[in-house]
Amino acid sequence: MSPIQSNLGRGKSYMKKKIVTLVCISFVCASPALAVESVKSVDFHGYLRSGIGATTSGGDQSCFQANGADTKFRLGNECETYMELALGYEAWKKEKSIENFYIDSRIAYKSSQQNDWGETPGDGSGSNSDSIQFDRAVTAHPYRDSVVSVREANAQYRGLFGSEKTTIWAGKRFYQRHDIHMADFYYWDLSGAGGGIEYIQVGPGELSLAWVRNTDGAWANGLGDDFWEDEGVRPNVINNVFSARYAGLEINKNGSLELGVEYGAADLTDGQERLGFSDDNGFMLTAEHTQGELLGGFNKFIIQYATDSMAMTGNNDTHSHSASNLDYMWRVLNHGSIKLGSQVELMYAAWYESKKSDDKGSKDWFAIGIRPIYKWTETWNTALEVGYDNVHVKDGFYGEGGDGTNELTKITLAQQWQAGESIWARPVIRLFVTYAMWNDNDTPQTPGILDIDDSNGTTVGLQAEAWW
Amino acid sequence: MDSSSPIYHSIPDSPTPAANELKRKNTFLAALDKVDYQELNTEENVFITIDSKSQAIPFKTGKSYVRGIVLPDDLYSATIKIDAIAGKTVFVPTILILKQNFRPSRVIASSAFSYKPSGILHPDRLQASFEIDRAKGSETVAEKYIVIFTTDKDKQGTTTLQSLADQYAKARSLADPRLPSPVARHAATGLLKISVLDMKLISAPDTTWEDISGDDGRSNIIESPIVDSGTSRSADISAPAETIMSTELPDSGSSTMFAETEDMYNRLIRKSVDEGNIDKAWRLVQEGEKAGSVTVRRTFMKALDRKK
Repeated sequence: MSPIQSNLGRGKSYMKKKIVTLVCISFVCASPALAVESVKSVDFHGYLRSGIGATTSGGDQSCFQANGADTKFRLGNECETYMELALGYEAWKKEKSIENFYIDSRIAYKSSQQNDWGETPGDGSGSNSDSIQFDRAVTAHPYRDSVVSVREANAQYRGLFGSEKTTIWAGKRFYQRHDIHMADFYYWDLSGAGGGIEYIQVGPGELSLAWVRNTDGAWANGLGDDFWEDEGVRPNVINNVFSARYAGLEINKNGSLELGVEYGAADLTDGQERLGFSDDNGFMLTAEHTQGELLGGFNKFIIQYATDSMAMTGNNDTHSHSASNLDYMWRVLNHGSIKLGSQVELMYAAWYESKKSDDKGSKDWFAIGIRPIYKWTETWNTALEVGYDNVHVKDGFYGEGGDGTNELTKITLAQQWQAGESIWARPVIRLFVTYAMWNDNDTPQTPGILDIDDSNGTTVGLQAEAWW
Repeated sequence: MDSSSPIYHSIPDSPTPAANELKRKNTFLAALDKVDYQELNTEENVFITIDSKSQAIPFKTGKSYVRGIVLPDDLYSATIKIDAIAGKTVFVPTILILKQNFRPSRVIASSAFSYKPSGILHPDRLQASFEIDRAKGSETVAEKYIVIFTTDKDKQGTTTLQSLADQYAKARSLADPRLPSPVARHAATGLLKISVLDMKLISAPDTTWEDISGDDGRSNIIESPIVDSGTSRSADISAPAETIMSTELPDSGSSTMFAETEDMYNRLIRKSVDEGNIDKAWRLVQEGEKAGSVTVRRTFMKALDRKK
């Protein structure tokens, strides 16, 4: 849809006594829907990162993440190939109307990039940042370390109630995800198979309602999976999450507020109830303020509070986990991207999260990071990223072990070649060196590459990142 | 990608200075046949600036700076893509395509231009494509001149551009970032990029007797001399256009040529055909049409028929 406003033109006509006359043209009034017959084309979007790296004391590239933290600061700290290919298409358009049908698809691929040939299904894909408890990275077969996943497959009916943005959708999708880019942290992410209606203009804001589901496996129901034969009961627990979001409230100049509530509950069968599967439910509240036009960029401030089954939310995980054993969680986050002059631009982020379990254990996570870049030319800049994570576990929270604090600091210096001067411009190729240090409690990082009792590590590498 | 390449500096930050200068621009002697038509440049990355030094014409839709392009005689067919580069302002083009006699053939309305967000190798722009088809029998065989201008109404509008935050959100399938998008105000001046694609040339540039001898009895190649409003044959869009002539001028069915001169041309043409000098007769037809005659072609074909 062209946002140009076009219409009738009527001007004065000028009389010329010449052989070739001045031609005066008037146009038939062209409303966008009538005049613009869109040439159908496929929307091709995607993301990829891939590269090569090494740990300077020997071995494959290490990636560093504080134990108990859900994310890491990512510059020069990513050890996998990850790619998304998305194809979308306007399949149908109603005549003389803005209503149309759009189909969307997105496939993700991930591998440990150990070899040219990486088969799926891999038996240990993932980055070298997996902690010692999940030793997939340690056992990965070098030629079989890839996985593929269809993340989005849906159809959207757009243009309802006379508004281009109002949409009814059904299928699998990333649902209105909110993220902190520099930590790859999706702090508000209700994705999966579902359906709903988005962006209905209600008063000053836009209302979106959705029903999405997530499923927990036998590990989460607290009872295992050996009752199918005897009892005819399935071990997996379906959780339904109902979401309502109200966004676009302009409460100050260039500022926008979004409020959301997600309610999640286990959907147990009779058999599962009989066996005593946990049927926890819970809710999560989010308030997010976005400030635009701030020093050439933006700032986002977020408060979240969740209870019971919704309190386990981590990264990519605004879902319900009925066997969560958690009482509540709250988080305060602040992140953004600003310019200081014409040659310096930076991303920054800080957050604090506190989780309390039913048995009075707690886990508190504090993280802060900053990524300034200095632009030498339009395509050549130097980036520095400094990030700090602190995870404090008390009274044996959720299998994390007794009391203790895990601390990790990561510093990365990178030379970047980018398609443009903005800190958001991609593709980019980076040459980086990363140094990380951590406390005793936080050992080991990448066991088998670094020594078990090492307290610091250095890596170097070249990475490409792109989205389109 | 936001580009700060030097070429894009010619896009003004505000539409006001150019609009004021345009008001003062003298267009007393302006006419379509007085536009400085530049030969179509078929190289890559050809940029055209429309600025206060450009000529202006008082169209019915409003006075506008113009740029003119003349198609080379040996251009048989091509797709011409026009990008109006958007910065803080953007020039919203309307394309007028004229025949050899400067009469209108087609109009590509500004609504045909759709917004294309900046990508890896190009900035934000409004883009439209149209076909040039000078094959015999095509409605557009006589097209020769392209005039690029903008209308008063279009100058009042704005175009919302896609911010980098929106591009990131679409690429990663994220929530609406709720950040203000940059807006380009429509202006009287701006920067355009012209691309010529799928170009086919006529092998022999000069039309000779063989070309028009009509092996398949193609004497019906003569289209009606009456200016027909432009139903575009291109895959893209052009709004139907009505050509309105001022009441002082002769109606669109007849020549604008002086009657005696027209007679002279027609006589000479008949004489040349009778003498077997077809080349000369054809030259006279071309000259006569350039001068505004709508009868010389008919005369020529009739003479040929008689000769057979």
